[in-house]
Amino acid sequence: MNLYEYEGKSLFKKYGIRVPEGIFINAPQNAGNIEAFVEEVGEVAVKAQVLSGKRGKAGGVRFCKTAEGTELAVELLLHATIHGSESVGVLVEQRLAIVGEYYLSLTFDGWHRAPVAILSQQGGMEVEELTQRHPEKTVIRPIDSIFGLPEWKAREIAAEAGFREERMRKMADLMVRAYRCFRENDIRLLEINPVIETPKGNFFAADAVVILDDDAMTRHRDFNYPPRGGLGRPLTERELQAKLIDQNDYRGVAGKYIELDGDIAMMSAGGGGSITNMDALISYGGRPANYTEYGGNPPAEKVEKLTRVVLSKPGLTACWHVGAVANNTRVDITMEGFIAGLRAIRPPFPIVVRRGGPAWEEARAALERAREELHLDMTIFGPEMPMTESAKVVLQKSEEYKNKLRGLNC
Amino acid sequence: MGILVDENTRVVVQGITGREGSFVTKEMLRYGTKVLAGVTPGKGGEVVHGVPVYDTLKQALAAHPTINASLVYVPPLSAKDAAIEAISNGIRLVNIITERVPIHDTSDLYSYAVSKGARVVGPTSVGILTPGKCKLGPIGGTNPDFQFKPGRIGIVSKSGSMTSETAWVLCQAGFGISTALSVGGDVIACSTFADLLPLFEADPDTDAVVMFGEPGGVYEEQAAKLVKEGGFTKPLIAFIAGKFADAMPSGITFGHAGAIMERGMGSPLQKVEALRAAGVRVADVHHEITTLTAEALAQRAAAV
Repeated sequence: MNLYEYEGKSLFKKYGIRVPEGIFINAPQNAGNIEAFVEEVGEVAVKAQVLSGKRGKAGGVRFCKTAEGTELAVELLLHATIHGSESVGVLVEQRLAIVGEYYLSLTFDGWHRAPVAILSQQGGMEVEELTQRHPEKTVIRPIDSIFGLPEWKAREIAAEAGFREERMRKMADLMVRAYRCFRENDIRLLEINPVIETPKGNFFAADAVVILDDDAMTRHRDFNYPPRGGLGRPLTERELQAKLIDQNDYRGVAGKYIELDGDIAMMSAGGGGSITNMDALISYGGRPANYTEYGGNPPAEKVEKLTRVVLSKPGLTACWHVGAVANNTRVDITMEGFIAGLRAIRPPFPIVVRRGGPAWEEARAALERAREELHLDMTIFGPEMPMTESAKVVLQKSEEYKNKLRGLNC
Repeated sequence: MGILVDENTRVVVQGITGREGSFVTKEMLRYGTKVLAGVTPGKGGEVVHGVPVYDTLKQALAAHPTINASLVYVPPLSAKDAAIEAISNGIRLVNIITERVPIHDTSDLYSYAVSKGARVVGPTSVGILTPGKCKLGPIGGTNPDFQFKPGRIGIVSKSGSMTSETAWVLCQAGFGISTALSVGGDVIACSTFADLLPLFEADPDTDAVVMFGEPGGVYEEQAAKLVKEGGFTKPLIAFIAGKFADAMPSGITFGHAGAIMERGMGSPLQKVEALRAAGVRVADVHHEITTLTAEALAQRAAAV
């Protein structure tokens, strides 16, 4: 889960990381104290709260010196759309004088298979640009996962990045606090870009990018962040419904659902199989209506819920229920859930199934019975049909269905 | 031979009394895998499909000192503890099937495993199978003989289901499998392609390896580097899934957790390029791996 800047900063504050003084406004009626705030702090920055990057370049940040100007900027940015995602509010912050801008992030890295600290004296630019344009000015250092980031190690990293004397000490202190925050909150990415240095020599987090580990949420019952997509847009109704499927139920996974623009409903099993089949469908010219994956032997009711979500999207012309020859997912049980979903939705469009694995023959028989009972246009394949080749059958069926619809309209 | 598991593998199942753990134990026993003990804290004294259950791994080892591998089948937030318990007790092969293990936990247990010289495969692994000798984990399901005929091709995959699908496609084409395993698709895999390819290199019963990669991370690039530097000289055939994700917004996870593409890294097309540059045969569509495998073996035979 990605946190908004205002959420990230309030987390930082708990660890003694300095952030500019600010107020978060999520509705016009909550904006009453702007005048007093501007009077108190002087110049302010008004920042739209969106999850997409490069907000400044898209007009999502305004600098103001007066209360009137600030109120206008708040109104403008309160529900602004930045890179396709609607702002959830604005953060009005004191604009600090700056004598230095630096880059700091903590994340995981596949080369080291450990947490890494990335630190540079060149703040303010994107990290890709930073590592390409100034590789010599950027240090990337692994951190011992069990031992953590002690002060001496943080000082070493800061010194390697070129921080000297008091700056080195202050950057090391910031890194130790940031690492504690990273570790204690199960953060996957913590990025402060830029870290700003004020004329008094204090370091502030001027921005906050925080990605929490969804897999660790159950040990942070105190977290109270509303659901969000991380897609650069709010979740759709169906995406929200899907998210609830796996909540508090670890038996298998069936809640991953991302809505896309196409017309072919995807019921796909397995993380690896799902992306292999998306590739196949697209390479043959099809347009998926969604991405999904279920697996890990989920109970029938989870698959039923997912089926209802997947099949309820308007404008579908076919459904492809596809998965590899399963290892341990009981195919009869997952298909029982699928059939329950079909019974509820009764799709008029064609369905193509390709599956195999434990209890596949029982599953096939149940699907055949359901086809008859519910009068479905359902084509059923087992392992005898190569998985990716069944994509062609779906596309053919979808075309036929579209032609039929066109005929009805005439 | 094969790698990692064979007829000498003696297994303890951590989390044996759970729904999945108990089901998989039954399947492993049916395959002939020697499952000597299980561990579930608080359930010591129970018996699961004839396998005695202990409260601690230490007790299990005291009663069954020949145990040399652990299958971890515990809930996500307990996986780190279970794996470290196994390594601390001297077990050298730990296979973690559990999915959705928090990344900080995996990072800790990987660091510990490295310090102790233990081999951990997973998390999110589907297991390890050497046909006719040992099935560790749910790999192959209830009827592994269906997809996994004995033979001379190794399989290493990020995806569990695609481990079996790959074996199925290869066996349909007349090949057999030396050892197949999935390393999991997490951001931190405790064993990577580059960690395991040298084992296949040293295995006299493996002629070629088929690898299934996914978007995200650098493990495919590391494999390419290993091949380029001469660390793996047998034919390597690869398929990289998820090319469609290149057209999607960055930062979304399609497939497994590690399949996230962040900061312009981990693109499937870049992986394909890196592997091809190293001389690895990469299939455009999954089922093409069979043709490429046949080609590679014919070329190698002609060269000898």
